[in-house]
Amino acid sequence: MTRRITVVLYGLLCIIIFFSLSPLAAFLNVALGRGLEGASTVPGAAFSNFLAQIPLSTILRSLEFTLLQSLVSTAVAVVIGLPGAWFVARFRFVGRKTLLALAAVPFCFPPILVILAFILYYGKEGLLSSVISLLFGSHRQYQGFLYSFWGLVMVHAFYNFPIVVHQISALWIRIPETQKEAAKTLEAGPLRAFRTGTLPWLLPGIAQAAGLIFLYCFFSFTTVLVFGGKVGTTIEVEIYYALHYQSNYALVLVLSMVETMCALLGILLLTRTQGRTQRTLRDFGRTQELRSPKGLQRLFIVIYGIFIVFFFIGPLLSIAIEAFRVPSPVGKATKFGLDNFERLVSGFQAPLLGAILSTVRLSGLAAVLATITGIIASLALFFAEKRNPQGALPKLIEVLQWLPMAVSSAIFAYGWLFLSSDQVVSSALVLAQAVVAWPFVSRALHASLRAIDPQVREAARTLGASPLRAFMTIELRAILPSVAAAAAFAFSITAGDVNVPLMLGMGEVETLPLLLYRLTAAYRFNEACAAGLILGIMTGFVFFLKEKVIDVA
Amino acid sequence: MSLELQHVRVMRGSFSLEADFSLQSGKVLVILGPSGCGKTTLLRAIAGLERIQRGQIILDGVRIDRLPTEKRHIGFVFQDLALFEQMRVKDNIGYSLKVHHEDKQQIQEKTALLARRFKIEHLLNRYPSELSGGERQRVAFARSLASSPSLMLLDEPLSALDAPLRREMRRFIRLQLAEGHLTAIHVTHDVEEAVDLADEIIVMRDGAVVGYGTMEELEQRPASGWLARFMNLGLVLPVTNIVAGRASDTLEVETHAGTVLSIPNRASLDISRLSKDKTCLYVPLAATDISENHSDRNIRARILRKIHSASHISKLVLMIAGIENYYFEFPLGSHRTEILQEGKEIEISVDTERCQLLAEEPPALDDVVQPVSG
Repeated sequence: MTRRITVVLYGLLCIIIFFSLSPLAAFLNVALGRGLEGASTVPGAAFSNFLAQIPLSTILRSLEFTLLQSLVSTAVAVVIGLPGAWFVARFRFVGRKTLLALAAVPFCFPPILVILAFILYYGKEGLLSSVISLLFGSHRQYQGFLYSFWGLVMVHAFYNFPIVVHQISALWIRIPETQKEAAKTLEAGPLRAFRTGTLPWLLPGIAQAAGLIFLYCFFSFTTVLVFGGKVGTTIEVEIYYALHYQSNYALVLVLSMVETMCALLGILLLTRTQGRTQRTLRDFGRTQELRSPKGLQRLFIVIYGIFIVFFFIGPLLSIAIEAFRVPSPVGKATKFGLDNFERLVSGFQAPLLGAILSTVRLSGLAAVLATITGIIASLALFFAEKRNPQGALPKLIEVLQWLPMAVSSAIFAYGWLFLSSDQVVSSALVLAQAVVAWPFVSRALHASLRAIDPQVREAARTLGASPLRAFMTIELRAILPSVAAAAAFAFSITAGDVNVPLMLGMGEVETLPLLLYRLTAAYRFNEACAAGLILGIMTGFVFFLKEKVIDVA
Repeated sequence: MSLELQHVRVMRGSFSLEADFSLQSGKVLVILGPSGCGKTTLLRAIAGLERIQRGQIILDGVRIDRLPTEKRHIGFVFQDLALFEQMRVKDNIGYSLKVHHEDKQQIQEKTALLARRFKIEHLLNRYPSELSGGERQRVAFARSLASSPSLMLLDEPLSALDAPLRREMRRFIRLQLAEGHLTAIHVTHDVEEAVDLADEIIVMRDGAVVGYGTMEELEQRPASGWLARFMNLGLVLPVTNIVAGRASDTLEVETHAGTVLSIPNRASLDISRLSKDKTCLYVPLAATDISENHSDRNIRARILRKIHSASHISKLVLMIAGIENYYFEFPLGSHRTEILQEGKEIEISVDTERCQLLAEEPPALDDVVQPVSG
């Protein structure tokens, strides 16, 4: 019976491969065709014409900027996140759970919302500027730093540092103190003892978190589009320009290949360290007891807490404040009310309701597709691993899981667009977002399947359960809560996504993130905040539900 | 290298630990006690891995309790050994020498010397994950000795080993400690291991030292009925009544099932102040024998299990009549074992001259038990 299930799963896996690779093939086909268009029939001349459309300087400049901003952003995120990871892993203090919960921000708050938050807080007219003006007077007024290289880095770092806190603390809390203590009893100083007894176990985790953040920053689109304009563009933004304004498919093709190759290096680092991190988690298993901070430790935690509240939570809170603040003429007292929401619902060009409905409809559909694909892929991977952990099939599925992280979402979006006969933008959006989201579902479910103690299954078999029944009662039952959680996660990702809609240049459909982007671009910040608050509540609520489902499970 | 703990107190949340004892140079002290009694915490406090709230720790005349761990010059063998998995065996052993910036040649020589002493020369280039349990033990031991520590602390390092290897390692450790004239504290919950390794024994319970002395001293006068039962030092019987004996220096003690024993009142106890519920009668193992004749002054018991072996200590597991959940292990000497069958009722005769009354429970935490002698 298990064999029959496996055969069915492999069949479905072929569909997933088709699902993931066909848009790439479609894009390649069209891009090559259009890139070679208009050239003479002589093959050499066609190739020269293709090359002539590719400005090397653009590629090199954007590659350099992409690498530089990703590396620096990652380094800053790690530096900000590491102390937090240490505090969370070792100490019991007020706000510990909040610090951990911040890890949800990069996943449940769309980048566009965080961008808005940073503009409102750090911008020239932002809250921070008002505070500095109050403190130092107008002659030393704060000029803002957002629209610079370091502004971009800071946004990336603050958006992603909770990943460092979450991932590294999960590892650190399991690393026993005995190795460090052993080093101390062998007369090593505190730093050397840390280097000997803790760091070797921590390094793979740091590398993994850094790898993940590097990839996020490497593919960063909206943030660079908004803040990077003056200082440089990433490859992803160049792809957008080439697609949207130049229709230069030859350049898109080369840029996306360069981008994918660089991303594959990051993914290689991630997968190589993943095994070591999992080994550490498995070997140590039990979490260490938390202790109350003493003396200097307490002081550091307080300073860190103030730092995070001031620089990270402050911007997020400013969205809520600005959503209710009614813009008033200079000199008039500030008013708070629901005016911004009203303008979005009943004013001229009132797009809110439509945007909410289309977000729910399109993201819902994309999430369902991603969940089904993720379930099939995770089960196929699980059974393939059980049969032969070192085999080619599990490796192939692993590679497929990473594909959306290595390929620009623009390629998937346009690939689907080219595949649909009447070029329906909304269906391309749903399919492209599903392709981006399914690996998250698959990885989450696969982790749940892996966590099942094989002995439980064996116990079911010894109690007379057939392989199918054992599968239904053990594996399937075990992953059901994770399916709900992963579906919610997929919804959060797709509902907050602005990259694919922007890349597709959607005019006829308005989603919440698109609305948010357009309002921000039109400097209608208060209305943007109102829309952003609704989007944040929507994705945050779904994410909260996901956490609850996991808790109950 | 003598060690002295003066009124040391360690607090860990609601758990509190008190200790006050000294250890002479070159002696091996074993700290014995049930799980969670604070043995490891005490060891960690001596090593500086746990902060002490009160008291002093003095090693060879120097107060060390304010020094960080790395300055105390103490060797520590951890329960899970804590070998550095990312380093080869030779780097594990040479670690503390490297910390002291000794030159490469010296590190190599000392590592090789220790490896020879511990018979692990062939393992020097391996990683800890490639070693067996016994080999890992030897490496951990060699590593902790590399910088010639003033004091060795061993935190149940044998607990993960199987029985034969544990026995072998016990001999090995004892030999190494003796050859190096090392002062050491060994923590265990295994009475047999304690007896095997110790010059002196400390028994701990609920964060307090409840017994201290050599094995002989503890056998002669355990501090409480609990301790005597925990170490199986002899018979511990509940007391139902105590009256003055006919002779002025004797006491008539009525135990369970009505057996009345006349014991000497050496400590001149005031029986009016004795609480029967908190007092028990202790009969050292050496004062008991299996009796073939019936007497009202004998203790009745039933043979639950008879363990008869040429290579191991033969013994009877007895259930004493009238006492629930108390299994007394009685070593079989030259007794005619053929008449002792499982399930049979027997009588144990008692040399009342060697009996004594003890407090059932160990003294309160504040009353630190002083050594029986010396």
